[in-house]
This record gives sequence, C-alpha cells and structure tokens, in this order.
Amino acid sequence: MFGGYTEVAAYYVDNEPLSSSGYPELPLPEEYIPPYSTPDPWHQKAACQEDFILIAEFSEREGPKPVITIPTNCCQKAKNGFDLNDFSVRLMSVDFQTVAGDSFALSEDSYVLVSETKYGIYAYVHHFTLYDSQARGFVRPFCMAFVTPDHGKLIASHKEMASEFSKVSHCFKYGNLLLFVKDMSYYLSDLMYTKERFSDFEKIREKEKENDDENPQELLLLEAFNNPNEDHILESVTEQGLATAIREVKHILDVTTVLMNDSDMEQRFRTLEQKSRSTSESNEGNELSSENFQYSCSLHSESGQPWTDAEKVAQHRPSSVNDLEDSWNMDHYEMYKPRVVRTTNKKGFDESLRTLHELCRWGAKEGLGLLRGIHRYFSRDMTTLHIERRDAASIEPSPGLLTIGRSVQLNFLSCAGPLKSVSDEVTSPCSLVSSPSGNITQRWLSDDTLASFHSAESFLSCSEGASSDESKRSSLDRKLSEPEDVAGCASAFSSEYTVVRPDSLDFQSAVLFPQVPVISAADHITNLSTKSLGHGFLSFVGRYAVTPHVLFSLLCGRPLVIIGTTRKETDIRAMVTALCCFVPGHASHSVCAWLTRPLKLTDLSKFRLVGMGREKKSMDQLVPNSLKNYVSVLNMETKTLSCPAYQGGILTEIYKKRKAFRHEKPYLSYIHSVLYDLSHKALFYYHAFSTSEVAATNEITNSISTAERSRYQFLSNKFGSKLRLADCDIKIVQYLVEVIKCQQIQFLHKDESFPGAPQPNIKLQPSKCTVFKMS
Amino acid sequence: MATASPNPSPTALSVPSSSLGAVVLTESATNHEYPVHVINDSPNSLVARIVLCYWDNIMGPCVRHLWNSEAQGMHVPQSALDYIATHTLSGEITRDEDDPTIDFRFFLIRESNLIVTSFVFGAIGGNESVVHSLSIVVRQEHRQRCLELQALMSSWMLRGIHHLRVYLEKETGDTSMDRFTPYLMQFIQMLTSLNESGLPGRISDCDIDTAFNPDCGCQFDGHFLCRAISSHLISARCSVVVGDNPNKVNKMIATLGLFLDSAERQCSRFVLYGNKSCPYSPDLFLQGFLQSASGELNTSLKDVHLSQRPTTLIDLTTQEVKFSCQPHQHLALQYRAVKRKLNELWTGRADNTFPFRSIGAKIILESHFYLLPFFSEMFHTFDEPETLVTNLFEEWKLLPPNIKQHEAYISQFISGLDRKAMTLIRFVECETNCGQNPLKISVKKLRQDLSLKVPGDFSIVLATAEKLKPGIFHFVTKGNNIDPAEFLDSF
Repeated sequence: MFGGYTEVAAYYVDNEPLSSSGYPELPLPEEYIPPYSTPDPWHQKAACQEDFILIAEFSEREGPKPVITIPTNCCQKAKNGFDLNDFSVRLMSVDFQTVAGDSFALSEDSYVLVSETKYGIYAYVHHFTLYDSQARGFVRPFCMAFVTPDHGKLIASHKEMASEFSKVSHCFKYGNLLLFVKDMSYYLSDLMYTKERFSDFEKIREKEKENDDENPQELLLLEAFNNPNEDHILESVTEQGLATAIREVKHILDVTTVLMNDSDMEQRFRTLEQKSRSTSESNEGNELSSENFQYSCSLHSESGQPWTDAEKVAQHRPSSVNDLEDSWNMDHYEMYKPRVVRTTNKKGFDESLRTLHELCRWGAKEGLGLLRGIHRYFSRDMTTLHIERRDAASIEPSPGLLTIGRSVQLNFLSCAGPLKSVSDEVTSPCSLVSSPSGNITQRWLSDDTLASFHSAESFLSCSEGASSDESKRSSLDRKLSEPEDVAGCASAFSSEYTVVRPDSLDFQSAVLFPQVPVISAADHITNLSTKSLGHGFLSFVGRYAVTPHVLFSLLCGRPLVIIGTTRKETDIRAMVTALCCFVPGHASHSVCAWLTRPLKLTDLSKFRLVGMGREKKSMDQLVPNSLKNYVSVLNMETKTLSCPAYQGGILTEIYKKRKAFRHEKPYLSYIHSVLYDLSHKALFYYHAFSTSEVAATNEITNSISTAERSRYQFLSNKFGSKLRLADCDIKIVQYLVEVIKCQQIQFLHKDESFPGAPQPNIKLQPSKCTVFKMS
Repeated sequence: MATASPNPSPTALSVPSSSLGAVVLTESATNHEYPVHVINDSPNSLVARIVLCYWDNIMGPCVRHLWNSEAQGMHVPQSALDYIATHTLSGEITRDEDDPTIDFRFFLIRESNLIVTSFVFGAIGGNESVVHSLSIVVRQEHRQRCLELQALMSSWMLRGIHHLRVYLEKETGDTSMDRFTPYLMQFIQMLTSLNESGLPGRISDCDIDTAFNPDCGCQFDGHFLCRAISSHLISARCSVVVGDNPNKVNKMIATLGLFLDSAERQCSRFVLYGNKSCPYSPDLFLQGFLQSASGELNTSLKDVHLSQRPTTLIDLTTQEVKFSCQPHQHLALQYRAVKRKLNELWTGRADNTFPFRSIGAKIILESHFYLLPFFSEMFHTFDEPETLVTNLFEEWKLLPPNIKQHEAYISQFISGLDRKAMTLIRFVECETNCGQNPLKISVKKLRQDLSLKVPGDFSIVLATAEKLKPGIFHFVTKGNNIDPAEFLDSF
C-alpha cells in the first residue's frame, strides 16, 4: 500500500519530456508556478497556531486598532512577523457597513470571510457599529474576528458563527443603545434648554443694543473672554443651527427609541447588575483584587496597550471593571440638569473616547461572556466539531438513543422508520419526536449560546433542576441517605432474568426518565481533565489484570460495587470515575461515587456502579448476603473481585491494548471506538433479531418454558455468531438492546395516553460468580 | 450604470463539449471602458457575473473585465461593480504585487442583494505587476448554496488564476481574456451541471435507488460493490463511475453517495448525457460518464491529477475498480499536473507525452474505454483486502427487508469510521506532540496498535482521518518514504 514516493518516482521516464526540444527558448517563469507546500495538519507554519477572537475598532483618532483579544495572550507566540495592529488595519481598512443617505440611519451588521495566506490564517469578521454621542457622526465602527489557521473550520461553521456573533453583536448594541438613547435624550434637553436660554439671550442683547450707545459688541466679547460662561457659548449658536440640531437629535431618537423593545435582554442586564452588586458588597474594600476583575480578556488603552495603573489615574478611569459597573444603573436615571451646549464643534479633543465597556455597559459584560463561550466552542479542532455534529444529529428520537458512560453512541430508531418496539401498535415516531417530555436534549437546545451546547462543561453542569452553584458539582458526588424498605424480595429470584416490581418506589417521579445530560465522545476526549469521566482508566488497567471481568459486569448491566474502608475513599472514588465511562444507558442508570450505608434491593434499580465504604468492622454488612448473587463486588481490602468470568475477545483486546497506548486520550478514544462498534452490532441485533416476531414473543412473556427459553438463547447465539460475537460479547449486545427497550417502555409509560402500560421493573441476573485475586 | 457600446464586436468562442458560448461587448464605467463577455449559459447557472478588477496607479480600483451571465439576466448596477473593486482592492494597497499567494474574501453587498467571493492576487496589468481581484457574483438567495460549494469554487478559481497569470504575462490584455474565457465557461458549466443533476443533501430524497435498497435488490456483484466502496473511501470519497447504462451508473453513484456527507453530496452529480453532457470536472466527489457501444468514453480523464483528491474509477461494464494513485502520492502528482498544465499554456501546445513508463502488471494497458490510450496508465487496479466494508455488507444482508432507512445505517457506519479516525489522530498527536516530533513507529506497528491489521481497513481509516485532519495521511506515511520535495526535484 505505502510503497512510497520512490515507487512513484520509478514510474517517471528518465528524460523529462517537458524539457525536450520544440519548446520556446524561455521557460515558464518560476513565479507563475504555485509553490509546492507539504501538508501541515497541525498548522505549524501558520503565524498563530491557536484560534483567537479579536475585537478591533476604527478609532477616529488613531485609525484601526485592536481593543480586546480572547484569550489575552493569544499572539505572544505569533510567528512570521505577524502583528495584531497590522492585522487590525487589514480588517478595518475597508468599510463594509456603508450606509447611503445624508440623515442618521442605523447600519446593519455585515460579515466578511478573509484570508491572510501569507500568515496562514483565516478570519470570520463581523462588523458592527456602536453609537456614541461624543463621536464624530455619532458612530464608532467595531469588528469582531474569529481568527483560525484552519480554513475548513470557517467554511464548515460559517452559519453557526454568523448566528453566534450576531447574538454577541446584539448584546453589545443593545447595551450601547440604552446608553446612546439616554445620552441623546440628555442632549436634546440640553438643546431645548439652550434654545430657551438663547431666546432670553437674544432679548437681552436686543435690549442692550437699544439702551447702549457705546460699542455693545465689543463689550459682550470682552465679558465672554473674561468669563467663559453660558453667554460665551450662546454667542456661538444660531437659531437655525439650534433648530437643525434639535431636528437631527429628534430624528435620531425616533430611529433609536423604537428599537428598545428587548425586555429579555434588559432583564439579563438587571440580573448582571444584581450579581455585580452582591459580589461587590461581599468584596467591599478589595476592589482591585483579581476576583473582582471578572474578564479574562485584556482591556487595552487608547494606545493599544493594556492600561497601567498610572494611566488609569491620569485618565480618571475606573480602576476595575467593577468600578465601571458601579455607575451602570439600569433602573434609576439620575435627575439630569440641562446645560447650555454648542451645536457645532462641540467635540472636546482633550477627552479620550469611551471604551467598549463604557459604551455598552452590561451589554459588554454579557457579550464578552458569550464571546468567551464562542471561543471555547469553536477553538476545538475540526475532528471534534465534526464528530460532535454527527452525534448531535443522532440524539433524536430520545428513546432510541444509546449512550455508554453518557457518551452518545448511536440511535436505534433513526433508521427504523416507525418505532419498532414491543408495543409497536401503540406508538408512532411522531409522538416520540414531538413530545417535549421525552426530549433529553431540551436542556441543550434551550441554551442561548453554543458555549454550553454539547460541551463537556454542560455534561458536568446541567443536571436537571440544579442551581448554578449546584450544577458545578458532579452528579457522581450524590450521596444517598434516604431510608427505603425493600424487604421480602429475595424469594422471587429463581429464573435467569427475574422480574421484581418494587411498588414502594415512586417511578412516576424524575427517576423514570430523568433529563440526564449527554456528551459527544469527541468532546470528552478533547476536554479530558482529571475530573472527566474515565480519567485514570489507563492506570486502572495497568494495575488490575481483572479489568475484562470488571468491564463485562458493567457492560452487561450487572451492578458493580467497589468496597473498602473509609480510608480508601479517595481511591474508590477515583476508580468509580475511571470506570463510569463503561456504564450503558443515560435514562435508567446511575453511578454513586461514595455510599456509606448498606446496599438495598431498590438500589439495584438505580445503580450500576457504586463506591462503598465503612469502618473495617462493619464493612461486611455493606453488601447483604441476599444481594451478593446479583452484584459484582470488587473488594479493595481483600483485593478480590467476585463476578461472572468474561470469556470473549473484545474486552480482552481492550486490556491488551494498554501497552500500545501510552497516553490516556488516545486510549479512551480507542475505547469509545470499540464501544461504538459494540453498539453498532447491537443495532443490527435489535433490528434483525431482537424485534423479530419470535424474539419479541419470547422476551415479553415471563411464562415461557425452559425449552423455549433455551431455543431463544440458541437462536440468539446463532445470530450473534453471524455478527462475529463470542458468548460473553453477545450478552453485552443483548444488554445494550435491553437498555433501549427499557427506554422505550419508560417513555411510553410516561405518556398519559397509555395508563395501562407496565410499571418498570428491577431486573436481576443471578450468575455464577468466580472470585479473582487482583494482582 | 454601464451601457453596452453601440457597435459591439461579438466574438463567438467555441468550447468543446459545451453548449455555452460567449460574445464580447464593451461597457463603460464613469471614467473608463472595459470589455464584457456575455456568456450564454443555462438558466440554472449559479453565477450572475464574474468580475476582474485591478489597481490602476492613477484611477485606483477599477473593473478590468466582466463576464456576464445572459441567462441570469440580472441587472448588476455599476455601483455594485465599483463596490467590488473598492472592497477587494482598497485593503491591499500595501500588498507586494509579486507576492505569489492568493487571498480570498467572501462578503455580501446588502444594497444589491449580492454575494461575492473574491480572490486577490498579483498579475501583469499593462506593463507592470499590479494587484488584481477576480470575483464571483451570486444572488443573495443562493448564499447557502454558495457556501456549500465554496471549497469547490475556490479550488477551480485558484487553478484558473494560475492560468490567467500565465495568459496575462504572455498575451496582450484582450487576447488573454479571450483565452481565459473558455476556462470560466467550463467553471460555470460545472456549477450548472450540479444545479441540474447534482445529488440531493439526502440520498433518500432522490428517485434513484441504491444498492442498499432492500426493495430493489443489489444488482451489483457483492465483491465488486465492496471493492468499489472501499476504494471510494480510500480515495477521499472521490470517484468517477463509467458504464453503458445510465440507470446503473446513477445507481452506483447514489450508492457511493450514501458514504458522503451532505456537503460532499452537493459537490457530486449524476451522469449527464445527450444535450446535457459535460466533460470531466476535477474536484467533484462523484460524477458519471457513459461509454459508447465500442467502449469509448465521452470525455477525457486527462485532468484527473488536477483534482484536489485522488480518484477511484469504477467501470460497471468490466467490473473493474481502479484508482488514480495512492493518497499519499497524490499531492506530488497534483503538483506535477499543475506544472505541466501551466507549461502547456505557456508554450501553446498540448503535452501529449505521458510522463509514466509502463512497469508491467501495475499498469493496466489493455483498458478499452479511453479516448487516448496512454491515459489508461493513469489508473491502477484496486486490490487491497479489507474487512470493514465487507462486514458492513454482510451485516446489512441480515436486516429484514422492512427496514427502510438504509441511509441512516450507512451514516452510522461512517460515524464508526470517524471514531476510529479520531483514535488514530489522537494517537499520532500524543506520540508526536502534535507533529512537532516525527512519528517514530512504523505504519505496520501503528496498524497493530489500532487493531487495524488488514491493510485496506487501515487505509480506509487513514483516509477518513485525512478528511478530519487534512495532511495527516502524508504525515503518517512519510516516515517510510522520501520527502515529496526531493521527489519533486526529479521533475
């Protein structure tokens, strides 16, 4: 396959035909032949290898200049002489927002895709205009640019980028609009006041003209020179000038005031204001602390450099964003006292232009927050974005979605047309899709920004109903303490798959179909951290040769309990974190990192992976004897594992690969790939065998004979062999299919139109266990 | 507003295998005149106008030449053309005219409802090198379509600009435009063919069956189909299907189209024949051609190496599956083809000397369906063993016939490939610190580590990784080969 260039070179004739006779004497100049460049998958030749966002402004004083970058130090490692100031000039030198006409008109946003091939970078540039009562023509042109060395990313994500940057622009512009309208209202009252004063001034001057025989003009000028007060200003205005200015300002107010209709945005600004106040109150006296300065982006001075403290004082600037925020009051307009103003040359060039934060106030804070989210989302590589998009497309219909370790695998119902379930006659795909209650992605889709859309962050922070503070806590940390009575259930365990109906549990509540956030495998790998699910698995595999048996228990739905003394809590928690990416199903499973009370039967309906601990004396009571047949136990004290033995190829292969992968990221990625292959086989099993008439009849009827059950198992194994699956691997596939069926039943059960639907069950699977010594 | 001169001098330009034609008129802007080619294209053409602008040292940004679509019949005001000239060139005032790079811009002219894709480059204007821009103007309602075809349009335009620069160096202004016009007409014809006979975003939306449609049966030999799909996946999902039956050719195209994503399908077309016939178009993912009774093809595949990707050739008549080159060799061969093409333009004579020599069994000399016999040597028989596609096909046969959405099954198969490719990418990233160090392990070891022991499986996954991380194919395989730059020195 990879014979190489030498092989291809051998194809070529020794005498290059292009240089043979008959060609003109002058060969094609070299500059007309495009340069050959070797591929650069990680953009090492680009001036900037990392994506960043730049906000630039066309300053009326200094021309185009960078204002803010996200992240702050994005260009510190820039190569090839790339300069952010020059780049800002390139972006802002062409005006893409020209508005025709003489009168004031709002300009719409525009966007441009640009390339800087010389530097190997590409940018999506979103031009927008802010309004400033102190600026020339009242306009302040800005642009936001998402800069990346990956051209394909801009093309593939153009639509999303345009949409997300429009949201940011709206935040900036709305915050700016509130201020601009306020400023212009003040200016209008100034003009009206000036008009009044000018009228009085004219009358007085006429009277003085009539009464004074001497040179009144000279007298007035002298007075004005000595005392630069209102009269001096009134001297420079004209009635016509005032009328024109009033007309213009009224027109501006007419145009802008009607746009102040976004109550949602105003409410968000108020929320920000309240948060800021509560923060500043709690941090009173510590205004310059780093916690107070809430932006991670840089704030540049007029010269394009970050402000020094001396500059801040010299310019009478607030010393922190919080100081600025103190003056941004959404609801209280201070009583404005109008003053006499000029209608021409009113600009004072000794005053510096207002910054983005001063122009947009809460809009800047909200917008910059969104921008940071956009950066987090789009700065991931194209592999992640591409796979995540594909995963996002497969989450509907939700009852068909198979997840393992909350990572999206595939959807069993996306390829089936009408829903194929045991209750085929009572459902339709339309009801599945349209029902919001069954939509596990509701939380995602309601989000305003892509920042928390599908990201690992959302995975950790989106547990249903959690407050923002609580949401930061991993669901793994949940502890159980509620007393539950499940006595008397042990007698029912006789057949291989025993069905127990726990009437004492309220399955109508959120336990049934909780909106558990799911993630894409690609994002999981990209944002892998010490807190991520699966972290530490490579180390676990390296330490324990029993890994295939442990994984087998998890993947075939048998609860795994890791027990130890309280001193080993940290180790046990780490093991639960490492193993929880193997727990199938997002709707019915749960993982508990640390439980200190004895296990109960009802726990088996909820938990598939539990870390448990107690003092050494009472440790044996953690798993009651009545439950020991139904759970796998990994005892950290005795270093034993009691579980069904795994005899198959897939999980053994995962174990063997531990030496090939020296890093956790590719190893977990490999595991995701293996789990996907298993899921794909489960998909075929589901459609080609499990929902066939014979199989469905066998599965839903509890009263079938042993012979029938054996025949079913025989057929199942036969079908599994067609999918190249060994015995134990078939059990995994069967369980994955079970997960989907349970989701469908639970979904139907939630639907009020089917009150007779069966209650969900606890399925217990007693198996012959082998005790392994963990080495 | 520009107006046509009272005495235009129409010059019909003939384009082989094309129904398009062009006439030359003259339009005048406020201060200067510029020639206009009116292109008689189809009403389904996407492009409204193509504008060549340049920086005049006295006048500033000016329109130099205009290609106007007759079928679109759209009024584009002079102000819009001036806007394009200004907005593509004003920011380039400090650009080095001899800079060989080509930059692009994509923007909207809101007042005229136009979408503009521009390419900025240095070329001869008058007696010296000046900055030019070549802009494709499309109506705003085609914005999404324009974005979907962006990579395809860019590839064609970059190639065209290299041609134009040679013409401008060699010829006088008007003559060079006359010589460049047929290329633009082929470009417009290619876009028109996609509009008229392109694959839909979803294969199930078209009336044509696929080999995976259980209602119709496969109709293709299973082994042949698996080889065709495997080679299609390895050659970056870029294939040419030839056969004597248009329905069969289209069925194979639709089947291979299942393995493309929506954006790639937008750059693919069914077979065109009769009045609609269109020559081979580089850079399309899928296209089909009919053979005559004598086995001849109604197009030349001479430009197959100009494409951005290697190409699989699937012959339904002989059931042969061939590929233009190994993916890691394509870049060098593409460079060679571009250089060769530009030399042809420079010398004014076609170079019919095939640069390869026969090396026995590797080259298929007896292929019967090419107009020029030496092109048969451009394709090699695909014979790599693989299991991924074969297993998919075997599993698909287990499905009951009432399963309708075979498109979703294939999509999930592709998702599986994506995950394998992601593993490969992350593995290489960690082993080489994102390319900063060379990959020290052999391809064979890599295959073993990733559980892709069958060569064809590894090739398919590597080609998928190349799609997700362009350049990784070369990076992974170059360790066992000489550097392409050294390879190219032999040219």
